[in-house]
Amino acid sequence: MLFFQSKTKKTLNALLANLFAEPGIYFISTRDNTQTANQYQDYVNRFMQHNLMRTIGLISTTHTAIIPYLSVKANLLINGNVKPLELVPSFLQHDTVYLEQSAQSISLRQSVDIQFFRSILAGKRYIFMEDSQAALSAAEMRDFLVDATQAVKATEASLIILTADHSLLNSTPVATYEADALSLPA
Amino acid sequence: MRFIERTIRGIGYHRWHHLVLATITIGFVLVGLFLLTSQNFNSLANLQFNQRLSDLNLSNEQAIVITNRVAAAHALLDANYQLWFLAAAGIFFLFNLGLAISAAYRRAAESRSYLLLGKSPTKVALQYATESMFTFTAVFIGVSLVLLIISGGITAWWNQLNQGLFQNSAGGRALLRQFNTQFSRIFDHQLTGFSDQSLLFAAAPVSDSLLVYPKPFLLVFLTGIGLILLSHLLAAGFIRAFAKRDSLAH
Repeated sequence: MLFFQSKTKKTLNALLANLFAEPGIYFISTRDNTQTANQYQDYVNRFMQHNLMRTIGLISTTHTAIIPYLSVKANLLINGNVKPLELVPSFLQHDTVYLEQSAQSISLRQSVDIQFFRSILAGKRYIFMEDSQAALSAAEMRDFLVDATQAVKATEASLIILTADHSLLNSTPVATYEADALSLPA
Repeated sequence: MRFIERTIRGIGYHRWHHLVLATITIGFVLVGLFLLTSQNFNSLANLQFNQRLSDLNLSNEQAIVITNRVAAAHALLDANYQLWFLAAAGIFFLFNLGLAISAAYRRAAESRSYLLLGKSPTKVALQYATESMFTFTAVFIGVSLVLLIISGGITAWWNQLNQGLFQNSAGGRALLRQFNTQFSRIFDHQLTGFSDQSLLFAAAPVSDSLLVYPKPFLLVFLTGIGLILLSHLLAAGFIRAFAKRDSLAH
């Protein structure tokens, strides 16, 4: 963590651009779910501290940043849609009953989709995801990754997943980093 | 469109906050409109008095003395109304600042969500302010409509209150005493057709429709909106602080 503390927003941006140069899916491998949570929280704190949230999207299971009194649709569009709506899979695009429903009553699984696609629509360059293995089963995670891979390619974004699930790492990400990747001096 | 949806849903979700705000707003609008309309009545009364005085055949000297005295008494009351309105606005502002800070506290999780989405604390504060300004506008329109409907009764009542205030103010009491002693001699041989009290202050307002006095409505509305906006912007720092504290709980 030494690196983040000593560098400013500019160097942090440069590091992100360097590590996740090519759009696609990345993994940051952690020991266990506790380390995932701590590492993720640490990243979020640093990004907030350096006002990087404009370029960074987040997917979490503990703080979903979903506004409970807004509809699913309003939550999807909360950061605007600089990217075309067609990027959103059809089940999220056409189910009007679901879209108009209050976001208070959605499942964690649904919230992951909303969090991801709201970042995609907002045109965020880096999307950090905390895979606490609570919201998605291994199969669901793979399903999600299929949708995510397409969207990420179309928008030139990078989805960075912090996970302790080592079976996931065998899928084909652009790169896999160790937990301390972001804290190592460049 | 999304912005409006967010505002209306936000008000619905934070119902208690907006009920409290609505109650305070009713008080502020009523007091503010009364004070500013009375100020209007007061200056109109002064004008009326001067007109009536010019109808009498008084010597210039006498007229000037009386005019100045009456004008001074009215000016004193005028200043008092101004002061009371400022006090009412001040109390309204403090209430709103309290509400804005309590909103920052109770909506910490929500604020954090907005911050995580990349919105600045000022933008979050502006959103909360918009909700409050929306409630204020709705209540203001409601109160104004009711007042305009019962305009006749209200203007008469307010004018009476204003008259009472004038006669009980220090300047007014002194004037009445003077009227009964020295000034009454001036009117002794005049056919006035009105009493000393109604000479000083008309028994009825110029018009019984409040629509004739639009300025107080505009002033109360702009003052209210401005103070709500100011209090929420001042509370922007609290939004960041409470949202940060909230993150420690997770």
